[in-house]
Amino acid sequence: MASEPHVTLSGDIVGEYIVKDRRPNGELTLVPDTYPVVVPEYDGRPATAEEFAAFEAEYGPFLPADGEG
Amino acid sequence: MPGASRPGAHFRVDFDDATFAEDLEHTSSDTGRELAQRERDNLTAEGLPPDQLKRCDTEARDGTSLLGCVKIYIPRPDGTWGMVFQLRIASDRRPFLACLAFGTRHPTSPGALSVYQIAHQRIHGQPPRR
Repeated sequence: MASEPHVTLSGDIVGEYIVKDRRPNGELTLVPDTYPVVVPEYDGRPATAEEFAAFEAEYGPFLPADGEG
Repeated sequence: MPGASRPGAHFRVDFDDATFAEDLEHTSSDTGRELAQRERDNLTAEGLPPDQLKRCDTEARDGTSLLGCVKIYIPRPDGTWGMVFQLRIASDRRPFLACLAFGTRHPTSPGALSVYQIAHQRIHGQPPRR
């Protein structure tokens, strides 16, 4: 699967755009890149902080956070 | 809370087809897409033990807030890409990891999002505050 070309505009119009069409004369068709659009759909609900800690006690601890994200 | 202490147990890992496809479409590297698909296949079959998962930051230096989430780096253990998971309780009350996002950890293209920014946006419905 190849991703579509992506451009960043600056000037009168600013933002991230996806190139949907590219003609031989150089004309481009752009649409705004609104990624991410799709919201994941999963069963159940997020674990609470208490449940998160309880699962660490049950399954073993996760590795510590590294500040990156 | 299910069961007694289970060291060595693995969490089940689930993927949402639509979000995974969206992330692959926005991954410019063929290698990245191949690694993501291979990792998805492995995780779906084998799950993940907690000692291979890093906690995400509640307040990271990039402004993202991923409370209740964990992550892996791909290739493991310290690759260029990452997957972020949310720990969830299924309707049968069993815990599982829901993949929120796949992407690069440190994007270099202008305007490109990190895997953390993608996951943050999917949880909170808006970009992180910087």
